[in-house]
Amino acid sequence: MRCEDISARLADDLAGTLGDDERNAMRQHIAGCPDCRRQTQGLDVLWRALEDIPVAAPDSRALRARLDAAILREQAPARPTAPRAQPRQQWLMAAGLAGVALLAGLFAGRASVSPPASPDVVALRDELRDLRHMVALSLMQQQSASERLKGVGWSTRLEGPSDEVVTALIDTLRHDENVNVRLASIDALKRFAEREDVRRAAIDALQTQRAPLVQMALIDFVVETQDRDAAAALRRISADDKSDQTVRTRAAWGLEHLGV
Amino acid sequence: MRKRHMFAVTAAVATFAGATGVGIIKKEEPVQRTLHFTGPGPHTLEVRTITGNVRIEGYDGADVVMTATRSTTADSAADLEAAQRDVTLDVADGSGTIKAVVRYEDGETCGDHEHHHHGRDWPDYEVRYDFTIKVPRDTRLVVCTINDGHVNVSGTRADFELRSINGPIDFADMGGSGEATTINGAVKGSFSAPPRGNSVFKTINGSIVLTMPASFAAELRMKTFNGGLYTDFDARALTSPQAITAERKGSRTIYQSNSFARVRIGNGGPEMTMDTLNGDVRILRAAH
Amino acid sequence: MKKLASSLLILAMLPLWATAKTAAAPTTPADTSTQRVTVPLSDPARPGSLNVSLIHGSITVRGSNRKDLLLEVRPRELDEQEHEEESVKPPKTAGLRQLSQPLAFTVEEESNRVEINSTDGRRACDMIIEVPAHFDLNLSTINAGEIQVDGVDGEHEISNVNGAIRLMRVGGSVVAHTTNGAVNVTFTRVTPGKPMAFTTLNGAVDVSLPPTTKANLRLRSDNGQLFTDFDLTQQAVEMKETKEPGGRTMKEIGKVIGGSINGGGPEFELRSFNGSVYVRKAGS
Repeated sequence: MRCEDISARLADDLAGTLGDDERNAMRQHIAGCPDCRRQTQGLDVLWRALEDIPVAAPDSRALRARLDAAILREQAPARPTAPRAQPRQQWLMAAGLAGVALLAGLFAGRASVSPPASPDVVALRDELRDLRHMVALSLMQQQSASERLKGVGWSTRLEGPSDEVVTALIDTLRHDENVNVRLASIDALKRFAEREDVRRAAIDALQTQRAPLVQMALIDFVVETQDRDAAAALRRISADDKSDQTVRTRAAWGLEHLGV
Repeated sequence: MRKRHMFAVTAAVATFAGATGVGIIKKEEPVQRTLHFTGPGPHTLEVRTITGNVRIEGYDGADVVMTATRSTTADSAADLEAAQRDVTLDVADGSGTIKAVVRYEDGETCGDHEHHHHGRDWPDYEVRYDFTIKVPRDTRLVVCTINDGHVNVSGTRADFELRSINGPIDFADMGGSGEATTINGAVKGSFSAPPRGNSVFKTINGSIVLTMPASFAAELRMKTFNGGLYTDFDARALTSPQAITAERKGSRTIYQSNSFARVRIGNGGPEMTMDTLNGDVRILRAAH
Repeated sequence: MKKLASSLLILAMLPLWATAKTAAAPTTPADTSTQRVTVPLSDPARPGSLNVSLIHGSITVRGSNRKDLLLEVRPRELDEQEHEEESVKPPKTAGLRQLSQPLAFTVEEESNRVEINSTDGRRACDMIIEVPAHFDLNLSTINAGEIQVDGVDGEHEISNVNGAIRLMRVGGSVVAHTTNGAVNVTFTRVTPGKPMAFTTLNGAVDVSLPPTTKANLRLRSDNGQLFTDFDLTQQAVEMKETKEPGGRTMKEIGKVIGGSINGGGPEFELRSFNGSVYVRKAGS
């Protein structure tokens, strides 16, 4: 096995899909090749850091999801429209290639490789944060409600929220077909409540959302965040005889607590 | 053998020159003709009009006595002339089938599927023919009308095919079987003898209410979307529901539910289908 | 991390499901209007999914040894139907017997994905479906019925509006919500790593999990109480405070308890507004 071959096999090894023979050959090579050893050590840091992102059981599918996210950096974010049985297969093929591209990118400039130093670590950390964002974004577009819940949940654990993630959360609140996912997005948006776009989105949702559960959570949101601009929407809900009675009572209570 | 007759028309022309230019209404005198079947039968009367009511009564005679009243509404004198020229009533007898067919200028008449008004300007006139026709009781009926198309049939015992679009269909004292369909109107009436063959009564916007003699025995198929199905006959729901069949479209397999309620009246008999969208279906037992 | 010993938790659970009945489908005698369809799967060896959307009616799904799907559609007896208009028959139909119509619906199967839609917007029905024991279920109805599932393992998304959700002996993951009704779920198996949610506005949320389930639980209720017999390791103080301009502080509305069980895992959100929340160890 040559140094060039290592990068191709590393992706599979980390995803757990490398055959035993190949893994042994790879390990043997790394043991005898200081350059390759330095590279893999840097990568180990990256992958361990990725594993710190809370995913219940690190399995190869989760790892592939991370590789999927790497594709998003290369391409425009694509909304998967394939039937539910199919989504991961298509992405897997591309993920394999792009994941290799990502890893190969880290191998780039092998000739002038330097041992991991501050600039590289910083670059890794940036890369890692972007990856987390990408994973959250991609999860929020999955076909299964449970996966979308995961995406919303991940977004609450991002430090330094990106505009993209907040926009995705607002989009989820507006358009997700599942009530529980919309509820989760309201919880997630609480930490961004000072942002103008979030406050506007919450008031807008108050006026358009019809599911009583979501209306209740939105009323609580504007009261907790003390958003007096929501008063008009609350007044309308409390007077709307087509709305659920519990929701109307809550809206009236909310008006009191907004001090309007 | 086809004969063309010229009508001696005494036209009463009424002209209304209104500010809106609503136009001219010319109602002509009713014209009565006696028409003859030849041959042993079966004998059929075929009436087709685009606009107008058709009333047919069975009687105990051998000839067909037809009264047709023409009425034209036009926007201008020129249009009126065009109407007089374009729209004709073709009447033909002297065979087993007597036809009274109103045609527009390209020969188009009710029931023609090849000719459509699409892409062609509507004429600036409307010609209406209302018919009242007496027929021998064993005459088969084929009636087609579209607008203001109230079809009223009574006293015959043979098969019928009655089609209207904007108008109800009424029966009285009927004895035959066949099809009566309209789009915008109820289908109602009474039969003094139960239909001997399969029959279909269909509308979109209207109820279907049929009164049958006490001896009525049949298999009913009934469907409505916005309404109920009712009867005062002793109706037994059929115990073996029709199997739902699969239809393949590429990689998809599609199954459609049965949509008709199926019941048996008496010991069963010919099939009678009642199908409406907006209205009830009521099958009533005659009062004596 | 401290163990939670607040008065909000009760460790000895009262069996609240005294009537822990098996999924009892409506027992109206099958009349001719009941329709039955057997739907073969494109590939019986592979898993599949079922998607049911109703407006009026109940959905009952049972896991079985089948490799295909059996659907039975029963229109409600006419007396049982809830009409918005008064139920007095108009005079024209006095003395007449009303006949029931079969319900209009379509079933489509493609690549093991089965979709059932009732195109009949006015009549209520009961749909009883037998599926293979491993099947993803996406079930939704609005009025006039409950959703019941017994013995199906898969990724389930269940939604109701005016009716309860009762999932018994299910495996996999569940995301469920209703507006007026209870959410009762008993798991025989939980897929690791999958977030779940159980939410209702008016009704109790009662979920039983295998005792070794790893998860981060979040229990919330406005006007009810929160109960669990799991050892809940509280991870963070949930009561948030926000400052009002006048200097007053606001507490988060309602009761919230968050904590991890068995070391933690994906988030399970259990929430009611006007009902209590129970998280039980299955088998207890």
